[in-house]
Amino acid sequence: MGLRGYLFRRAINTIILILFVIILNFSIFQLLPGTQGVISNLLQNPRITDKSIIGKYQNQFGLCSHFNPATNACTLATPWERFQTYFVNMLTFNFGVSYQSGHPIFQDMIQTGRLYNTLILLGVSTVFSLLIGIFLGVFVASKRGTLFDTGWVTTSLVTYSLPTFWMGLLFILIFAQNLHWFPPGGVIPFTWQTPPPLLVYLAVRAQYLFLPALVLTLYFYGGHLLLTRATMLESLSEDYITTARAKGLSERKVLFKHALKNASLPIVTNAALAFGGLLGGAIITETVFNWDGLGHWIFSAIGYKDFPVMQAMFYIIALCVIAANFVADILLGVLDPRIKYE
Amino acid sequence: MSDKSRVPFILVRLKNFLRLLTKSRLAFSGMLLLIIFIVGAAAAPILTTSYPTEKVAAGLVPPAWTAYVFGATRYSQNIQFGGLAASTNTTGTGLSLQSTLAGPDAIDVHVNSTSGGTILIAKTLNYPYSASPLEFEGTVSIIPTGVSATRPANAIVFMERKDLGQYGPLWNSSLVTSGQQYHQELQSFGLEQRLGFVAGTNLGQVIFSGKGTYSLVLMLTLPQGPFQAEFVVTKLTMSLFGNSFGLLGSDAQGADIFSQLLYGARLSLMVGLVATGIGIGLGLVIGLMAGFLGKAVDEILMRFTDMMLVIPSLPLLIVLATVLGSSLLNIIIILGFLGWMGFARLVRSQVLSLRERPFIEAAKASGAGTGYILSRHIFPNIVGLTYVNLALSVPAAIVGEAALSFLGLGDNSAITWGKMLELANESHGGLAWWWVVPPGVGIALLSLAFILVGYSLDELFNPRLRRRR
Amino acid sequence: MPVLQLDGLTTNYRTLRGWVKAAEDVSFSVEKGEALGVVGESGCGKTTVALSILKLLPRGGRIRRGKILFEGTDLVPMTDKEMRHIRWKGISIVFQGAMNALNPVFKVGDQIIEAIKTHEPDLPGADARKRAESLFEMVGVESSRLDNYPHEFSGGMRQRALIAMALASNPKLLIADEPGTALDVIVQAQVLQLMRGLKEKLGLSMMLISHDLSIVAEVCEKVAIMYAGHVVEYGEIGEIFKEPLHPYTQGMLGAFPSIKGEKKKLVSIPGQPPDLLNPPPGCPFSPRCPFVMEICKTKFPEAKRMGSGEHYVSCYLY
Repeated sequence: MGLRGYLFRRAINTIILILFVIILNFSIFQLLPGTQGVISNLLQNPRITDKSIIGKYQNQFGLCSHFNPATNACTLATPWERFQTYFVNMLTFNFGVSYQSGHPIFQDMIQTGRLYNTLILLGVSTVFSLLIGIFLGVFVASKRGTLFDTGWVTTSLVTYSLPTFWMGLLFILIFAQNLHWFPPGGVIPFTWQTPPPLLVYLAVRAQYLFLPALVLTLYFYGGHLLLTRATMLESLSEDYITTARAKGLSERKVLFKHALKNASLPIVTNAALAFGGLLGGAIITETVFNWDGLGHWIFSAIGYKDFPVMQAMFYIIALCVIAANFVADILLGVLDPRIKYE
Repeated sequence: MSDKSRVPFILVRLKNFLRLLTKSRLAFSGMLLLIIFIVGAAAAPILTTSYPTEKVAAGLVPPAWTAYVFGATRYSQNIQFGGLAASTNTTGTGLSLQSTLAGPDAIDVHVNSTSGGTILIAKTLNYPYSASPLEFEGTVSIIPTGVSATRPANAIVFMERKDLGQYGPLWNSSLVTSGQQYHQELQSFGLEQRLGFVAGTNLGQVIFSGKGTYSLVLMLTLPQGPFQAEFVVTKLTMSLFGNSFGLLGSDAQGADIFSQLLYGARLSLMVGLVATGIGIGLGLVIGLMAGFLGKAVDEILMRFTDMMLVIPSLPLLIVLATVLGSSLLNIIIILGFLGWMGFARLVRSQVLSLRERPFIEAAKASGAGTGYILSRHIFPNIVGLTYVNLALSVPAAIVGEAALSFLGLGDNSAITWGKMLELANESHGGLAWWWVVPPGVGIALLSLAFILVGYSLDELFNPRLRRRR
Repeated sequence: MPVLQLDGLTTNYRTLRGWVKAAEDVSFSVEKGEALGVVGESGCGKTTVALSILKLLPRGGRIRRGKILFEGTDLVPMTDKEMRHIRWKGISIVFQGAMNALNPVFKVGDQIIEAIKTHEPDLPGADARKRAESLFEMVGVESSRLDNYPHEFSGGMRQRALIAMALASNPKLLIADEPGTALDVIVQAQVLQLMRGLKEKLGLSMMLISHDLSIVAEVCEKVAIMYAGHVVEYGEIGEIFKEPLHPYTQGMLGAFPSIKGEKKKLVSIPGQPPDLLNPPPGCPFSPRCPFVMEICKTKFPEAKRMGSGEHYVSCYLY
């Protein structure tokens, strides 16, 4: 079985995972009493005197298999029928309407710039945490046992175990509230009606991005550093490293070519898994910093019990994590020649 | 292994653990931290003077010790009026008074007058701070006997400073019904206009403008003519809330943050331990089943485990907490049910490797049943693993609960550390460091304690990790 | 002038419990076009000596005394940067093929070309590739296999690839650390034959490390017998086979079957090699030596020249 077979199996696995997420999401929101509770609350509202309206609401919540708009007569759908509709909707990104805004969720997600904001925050912090974590991890491993090593290991253990929201609050307290170096939150200043000149625009945006991105980066570089260090130490003790050194290669090539390529396999897997944690961290960081992204949207949806938004966001986040895992699988297949034969 | 021999076995492990504690500095500091937390949480009612939600100070004031550290020249602390005593106004004639003190805040006064007069029931305070208090709060409660609608007595409460005069009335009421309790809360907020100040004036600052002797006076004016009555003052108190308070200051509602921290430690420890207990239990069952039953069961369970591992946990937590409702019990259960996957994999791999060991083969060959092998051979070998994981998973549960609380999904009746941070974040007028720092440090140190203990347990149960001596 | 001359090389490893005396006062030389065998049981310091020469000691290893003269220049005071020019081009090494000496995530050919390009950065890629192909043919592996990964090779092929890689930059000295060991006997014999052929064909100077005296005898002119970090006997291979002087060498020869010689009972040496953390004072072999004397337990004997040819022994018996 070659690389193609391996990728085929991973693709099947990914599809099963997506299916699992849809079923999970359906079970949580459709079968648990949450949504039904909302409807029954609506129906018990004494101000709704016309009970034929029941059918209208049932239709609105997608509970009918047949609906007559003239008489509001509703034939209730079986859970299986509902799942089929739900399944198609999920695959076509038709998430319904937000209770909060009354707009279709997919439209809300894209047009308000939330998706874009989250992508910026996640992208910057993912890149920085990976770069810092891996580079420091390699250097720390090459200087094993020195003060440099223990210092960085301790530091990353500390930043790794601090809750993100606390780190965010502390940064706001110190850097925004007391030192006034950065704004305490937000994506762009409220006062901006039209965008200022490009350089000012970029500088101010960077200023707003700095603290939330710093929190996420600090939270995630530690894990990458510790893992890189561990796998590098293992890799550096292998015989092929002695061979590489004996060949007269520079220490830089030994570390970053021979050792790191071997050590990168677990790092890639872990980075994909950590992506889920990063998204979780983003929800909290966006909330702390009032960063108007998908995470902040989830937070406001909690307050409004905006179930359609919550389930759509959960689905999107899960899809992102699954996609990240699939990308990691492909990378592994490319990086490790042995994997095709497993 | 018989039950008799199991007791010494556990004792040996305990002895080893204690020995490890004395040998390894990390294990010792972890254990010490944990003991400090447990003692602090258990002794919360002794160590604190108030409940986490009780108002005991002015809103959002820093700890008292900051005055010394930062060298603040103008600070004040909480202080109360004391020295309850009753006296007659000297202008009155034919007035006699007999009073008995019933505790520091209560006094019983018998009055006999021939032509009216006034009685002063007062408390005094030698105010020592140069800064004014931010708020004051007091109570007056009086039960008169011998008064009637035709011959009422009049009660007035005012505050007095010798050289500056009187502020009042804080309360003014006619006592008409015998045996009825007349009760009034005296608060600095809401009385401004009544005393002739602009709305929003800080009465504390106006009245207590500097060091000096103040009195809180309840003045009873008796009707004309012969009059005989008893006044039972069941309560006359006045507390001044300074601009600094206690060990860790106060929150926006004026509650003691130190008290919240200790009571929060109880909740965090409970949430962490119970949720992890559920998670470890589930992981144990699923891991044992997968490892021991093998084949299809193993395949299905492990597939499921892998899928659950990929699903991002915090969004799932949020979704479940929203749909199921966010009581503390629900949160514990949800955290527990989402925390079993890693341990299940670990147990399964351990069982798989144990199954191949000769002593299990021997037990099977001699006709031992699955249950017997599980309880007598597999389980004892997994006990160590369980302790280690219990210790190492607690921090995740504690942080998880804190995160949910922070997002507003916490139990509103429970002041956990996450709830404290949420309230601190939502409070107006910016973040207060004495409110933000303690819960975070608590979470971090408690996590650290469990991690240190976990690693030392790991060293104890996992001989491969044991350092060579 | 010998290609390589060790003069009193002492290499220790620092551990938490003290210095491990892996190589003590090791002296020998390799002449041009000559092969020297270094023989001893595992843990006697052979590989430490080899890694000391390339200055590739693992963590904690340190050359504490002595000189390593390569073509007359002492390598010991050299910086890592200067050593990089000596490595592979001056001295290259063949590790055990059974070990993980080839990087599993790079193609074998790329690893060989990397070795060539490191020392001849101006060489066009196609020429480097051509040299790699001819090297492969020289060691008897099809040149098309250059594009394979190490895990696609058999143990014997991996050993051949390692030999080809060691020859990539035309080294002046080749160190072979247990080549063929842990492979099956037939493959091992083929590898040895290849080594001998290459030595003759290319006029290689070689240092062959092995635990097996009979293997060394097939390739080498000279041999150094090591025990617990010390060279106990050193000289021409014929002399030593003919007249083993040190009791350890005698014991070792008695412990190996000879294919050609008459049938005789194999005798093993009773006892265990000493702990290198706390070796006995004096001769490390003294606790196992049947001829032990009082003086053996106080001071390690100087090497004495015996006979007419080159034959040194460190033993108070002589």
